[in-house]
Amino acid sequence: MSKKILLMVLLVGLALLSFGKTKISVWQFMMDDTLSKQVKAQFEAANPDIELEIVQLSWATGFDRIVTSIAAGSAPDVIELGNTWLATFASQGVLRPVDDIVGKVKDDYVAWNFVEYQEKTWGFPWLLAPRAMYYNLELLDKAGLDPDNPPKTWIELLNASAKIDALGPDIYGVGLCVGELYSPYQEWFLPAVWGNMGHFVSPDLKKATLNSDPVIETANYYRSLSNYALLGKESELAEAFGQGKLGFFFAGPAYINNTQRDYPETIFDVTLIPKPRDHHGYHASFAGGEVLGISSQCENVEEAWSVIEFLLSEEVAMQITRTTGEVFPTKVGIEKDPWFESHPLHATFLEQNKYAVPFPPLAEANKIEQLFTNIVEEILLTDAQIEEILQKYNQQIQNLL
Amino acid sequence: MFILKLKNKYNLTTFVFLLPWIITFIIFSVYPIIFSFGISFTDYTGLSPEMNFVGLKNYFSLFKDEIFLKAMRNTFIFVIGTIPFTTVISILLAVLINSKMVRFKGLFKAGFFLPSVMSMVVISTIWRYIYSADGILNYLLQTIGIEKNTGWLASPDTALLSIMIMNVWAAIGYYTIIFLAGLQSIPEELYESASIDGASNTDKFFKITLPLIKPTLFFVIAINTIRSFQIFTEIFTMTGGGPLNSTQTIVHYLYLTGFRQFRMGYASAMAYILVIIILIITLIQQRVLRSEY
Repeated sequence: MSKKILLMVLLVGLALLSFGKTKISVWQFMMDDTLSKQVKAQFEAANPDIELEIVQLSWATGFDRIVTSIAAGSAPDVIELGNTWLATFASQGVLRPVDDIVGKVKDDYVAWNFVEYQEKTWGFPWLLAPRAMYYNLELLDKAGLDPDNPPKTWIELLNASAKIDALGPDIYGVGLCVGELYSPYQEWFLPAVWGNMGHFVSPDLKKATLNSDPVIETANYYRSLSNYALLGKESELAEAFGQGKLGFFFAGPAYINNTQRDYPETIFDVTLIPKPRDHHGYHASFAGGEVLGISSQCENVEEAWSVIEFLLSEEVAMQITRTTGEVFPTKVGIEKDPWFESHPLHATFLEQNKYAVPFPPLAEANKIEQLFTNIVEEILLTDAQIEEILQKYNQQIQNLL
Repeated sequence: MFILKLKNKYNLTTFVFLLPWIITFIIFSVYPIIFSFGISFTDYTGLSPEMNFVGLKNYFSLFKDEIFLKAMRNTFIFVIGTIPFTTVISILLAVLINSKMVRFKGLFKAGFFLPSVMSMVVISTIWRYIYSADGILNYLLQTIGIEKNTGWLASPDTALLSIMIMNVWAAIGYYTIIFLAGLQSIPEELYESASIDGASNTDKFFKITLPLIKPTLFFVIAINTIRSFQIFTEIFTMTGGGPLNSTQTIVHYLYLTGFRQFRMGYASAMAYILVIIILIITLIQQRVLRSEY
């Protein structure tokens, strides 16, 4: 009998304890199950009043789950979003502005331009994934090029690609993405436009400028590069690169570990994306990244902020870097972390990040991104006049601004 | 009347056992169907709870939307281009397996049916490798001197055709088994009588087999038509509707519009256009069936 009473008291006590906790749910893509459990345990040990629920989303369906949960009024408290999605979500009132919180950490992190929309801050930059240029040292050598001196300008890249392409029927100079959403314009067409001091939209984000000279010049260059290019999805290009069939290709840091693991015989390096000319433009790259936002449906903002502060910390963010090798913390001075000394290829991506530009904060960014994929595919896969292509899409972008 | 019927003990028991399914059907099918019909007349985004009544604007806009029209065209090409091949190959395989010449029938049946039990995502992933820029297909072409620097799915000229070929390959096993069931219901005596009368194998096929499997044939065509109009997984996994919308289909564009562009009202209007198309075609097929039997 006494055992039963003791058990009941224990159960009631546990129930009361759990009722006393505030539950914060985080939906994210970057942490796997093991890391999520580890992070949850660490956080709850330091914050006994908060129960943390971490849900891992897949890249294939995660976005749909987020949208569905928002529509159903059951959005998680903290949401990880790709930085290109932020403006769209902010414009729809899905996220809570965080200007009242940001001041506490503004100087500690970089990439605040990821989270700004209409002069407000809508989240916290969490992880960086800039793009850089991978190159095959062996192919450069075979083509009579200096493997220690990869192309730094557009013309050098074009010439090097032509020489590598001439090595054989199944060897290609450069890989350019087509046939899927996002990668065709992110790797590398739009950054090339930025590097050529061009923009597809005016600084006030009201006028489409796709038909401007720097964009036309970039598009013409891109088409000329396609003469020596393998065209395909990013994963196909990465595979061809691993098999030693590609001289150059543009991508984020995700392929470093994969290529080293799956194709140990391929000797490759990573360098800054070439700029237009020696004395013109810069080594622009696409600033991919992940941000953490607080849902407008969140009722416990203070606790949600505690979770975000923990996730942003160098300790957690570096754990993600070490586990995935795909992203880097936004913490100021992260390049001093000893991990980067033993991972020089990843360190190059951090160097490249200095030239990384995010997609402009436009409410219709998701629609414009799809148009950009079409632009690149028309340039690479059709014979249509460059000016006509750009003029046509300039009008379509203008309609969305 | 319904309540009166329920008073019958047997009917009441049946109803109680059916209740879980009925409730699930109302919540997960009837309600969404009615809700999406309602929002097809609004500018609902899915992200914001706000929605304004826009009348038939979404429906009218669809017929000015170049991508939707292209998606509709591609869907029709897909349907018209795959169904005859799937049907003919399935019948021929079924006849072949059913014939006395073929041994190890079970093995063949299992082999042909295998793609039907595999996830379409897995099938699509495997075919992506076959079609990729440096994939098996391009490698084989290279051995006979044809060079191609683009994947089959990355070229607007070949992407839709490639998916159609894969779809035919994946679908024939399932329909072969259905045709086989139809063939096995034909009495053997008919063939024996025909043989005595001196009929050739071709005569037997066109005069006995084909007329007697017509119900199966119509079933296969009807089911395949509905499935083909709803093609999504292959497109989602393999091309995302590209390149240059050359593989964009109605359901995939509906998904993109609703879940990537946040135009749920517009996407719902698209869904109802698809419902009308499928309904009309199914009615035509039913009419044809009725005239035959």
